[in-house]
Amino acid sequence: MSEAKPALDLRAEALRHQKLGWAALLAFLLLGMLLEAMHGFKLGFYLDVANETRRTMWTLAHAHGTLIALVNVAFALSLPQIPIPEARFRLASRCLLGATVLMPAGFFLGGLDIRSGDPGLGVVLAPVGGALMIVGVAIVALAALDTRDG
Amino acid sequence: MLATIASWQIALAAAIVSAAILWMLPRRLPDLIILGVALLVGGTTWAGVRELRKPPPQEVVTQRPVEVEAAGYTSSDACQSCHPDQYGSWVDSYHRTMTQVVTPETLATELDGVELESDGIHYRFEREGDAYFAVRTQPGPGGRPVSERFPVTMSTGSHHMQIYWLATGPDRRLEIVPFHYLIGDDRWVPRRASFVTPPGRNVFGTDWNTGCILCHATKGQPRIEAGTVDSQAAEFGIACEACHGAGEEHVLANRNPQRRYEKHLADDAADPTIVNPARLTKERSSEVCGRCHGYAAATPEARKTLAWSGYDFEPGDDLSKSRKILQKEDIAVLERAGYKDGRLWPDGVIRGSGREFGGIQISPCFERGEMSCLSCHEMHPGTDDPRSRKEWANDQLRHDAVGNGACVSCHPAIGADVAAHTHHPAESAGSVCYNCHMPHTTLGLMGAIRVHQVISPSAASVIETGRPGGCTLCHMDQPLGWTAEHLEAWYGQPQPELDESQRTISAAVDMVLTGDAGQRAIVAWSMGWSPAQEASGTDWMPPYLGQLLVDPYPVVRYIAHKSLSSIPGYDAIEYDFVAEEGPREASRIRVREQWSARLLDRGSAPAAAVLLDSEGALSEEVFARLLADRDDTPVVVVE
Repeated sequence: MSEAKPALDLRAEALRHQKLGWAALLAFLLLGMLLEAMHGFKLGFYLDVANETRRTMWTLAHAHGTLIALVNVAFALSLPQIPIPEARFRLASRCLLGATVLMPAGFFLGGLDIRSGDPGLGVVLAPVGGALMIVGVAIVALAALDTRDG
Repeated sequence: MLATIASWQIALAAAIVSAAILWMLPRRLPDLIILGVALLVGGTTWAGVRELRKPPPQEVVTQRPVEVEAAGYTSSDACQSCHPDQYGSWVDSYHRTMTQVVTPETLATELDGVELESDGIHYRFEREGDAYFAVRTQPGPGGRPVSERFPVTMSTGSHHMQIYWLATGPDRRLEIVPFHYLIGDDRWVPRRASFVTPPGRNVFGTDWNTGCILCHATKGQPRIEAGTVDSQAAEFGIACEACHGAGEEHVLANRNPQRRYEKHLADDAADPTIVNPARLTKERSSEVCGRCHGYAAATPEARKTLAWSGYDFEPGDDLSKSRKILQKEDIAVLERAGYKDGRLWPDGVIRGSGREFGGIQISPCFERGEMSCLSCHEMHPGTDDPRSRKEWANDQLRHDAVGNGACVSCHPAIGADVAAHTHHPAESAGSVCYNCHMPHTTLGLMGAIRVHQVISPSAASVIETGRPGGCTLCHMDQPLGWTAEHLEAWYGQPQPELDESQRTISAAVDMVLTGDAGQRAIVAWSMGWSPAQEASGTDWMPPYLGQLLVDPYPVVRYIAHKSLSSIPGYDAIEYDFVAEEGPREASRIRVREQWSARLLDRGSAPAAAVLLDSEGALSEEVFARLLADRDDTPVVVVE
């Protein structure tokens, strides 16, 4: 006999995404500062023509990380207004959590080891994260479109 | 081909989006309408911006050669995304800017308002927007001046000098402006004054459509038939595909990410879809450079299609199938009556710059070793190169080949104790391998460069060939006999038979007064070379350089003035090497007067080899006797 799943605590779930969102926002803003510092000090490791792919990858890591952090916060804030069936909610939540880690990590790792204009193999995490992001956002978007006023 | 594939990709993306829309249609019609309008507005704006940014199609250009995609060629734009560093170094190279369409950005100097005159033909340049025109005025029938106006469409060079070409019609043929702009000097000079060519004679190489296009453009095709000229090139300048071959197959193959990552992760990243000269044998690799940097004649087979499609040579091919690189056995055929053919010295050593491959081919390091052009030169400097790109671009030397690095990589025993081999202090210029084995005996670009044939100093060869020896191009105050004695003492080289003059008079002095124009130019250049100035002193040089200020050859005068200006106290001598004879003679006299005054003030030690007597004054009688023996045989050094 299988154990029943605990009832969904929306407040706790929302708080989890808020915490992750704000923490990620802080982390990726700091990454942004680091990238700007590398511009400031004209570091060839980041700015040389040969390292253009690295610059692109890390810029993408910063941009996607920041954006996904905000999506997590938005997701948490949306929960009271948008009713999502529990199973779909769990899936959307996991997808967003996964995307928060995988997309920026993929871009960052891809920028570490670049070859002939191609990012390193770590970049394969990025499309996986992107797919999770699309699934998570699609669930929330469809639920939002189904929600009636009042 | 690439455009076709891109169109297919866009069509595929459109199909996927359409399928998604159809799937969602029943449920989300209002949302889709909003999305559709947004996509339409965005797409239209994007397409409009792209269209505005497009350069005008080249097909409308009718008065000059054009860049047209040749079969299998993609242009350097396709290389940039995967090879940004290599692309960047190519952008910084003078190869890229060898041939350019004239625009305000590509000009080395502003042409607007420039007026030039040569042989009674007057040129006036005008600018209209971003276009330039030359008004040429010359005597017409009855001596009345006739003016014609031509577009200035193309330029050659961007390093030492820039040359301009007029579209004189009626097709894509170009006509040269007979003046060069010297970039370093910021001045114009008559074209014939910038080559070693007899005074008043026309200069070689003035047909862009049959000559320049073959090397100064990538996959240049003259397309000359029945008197009409329709010249095309895959790309102007020496671009990526000039050395790596046609790139379309490589670009298409590497759109596949799996293939790329397999190459990235493989031990051997060699890619059969493209030529990498560094992976070719030394012969094939050097021939990629030698196809242009050599004195060559088209083979009978190549001559059949040369006027239409240019050379059918791709990097990695055997060059001998399309071109015969000239060696000394060919010179007898080529020597013109009454001229010294200035391409090769009598022993086959190359005499003109930019044509080095023939010398490399017969160097022992190439014949018996693994030396290639890439042993010393690199087209793409590494990220560990401490030099600026501009510094590298000057001669495109490998960073580790500056100094003895390239030589001692194959001659480690000499490198371990270089002074034991050179008999010069280890840190001195005399212990730099190429100062002795590759002295500056090649002429070009109004100066001297190193000979690219690795040779050993030999007094006998100086006598046999007339080519200045490496020893006395540094120790310029020493006679050839001094060279012979040292080469015998140090290397057991038998002394040749020398006359009194060769034993007592400085070889440089002898050559600067009695040599031919090419020899005089080389010695004059060496007098301004800092290692030679350090080894020989400069006190005695001004009378000789002063004499060369009135040399019959403008290039000799130019080089002599440059060297004279490098000697303290002579940098302010007023002189123009293309001025009339009177002002030039006045400059010569000023140099002599100034030198005599300084010499007496200082009481210089006498040096008989450089014709200074016990009073420290010049032995005028010997000087005049040698000068009267000057070899005035006309010389043409083809660069």
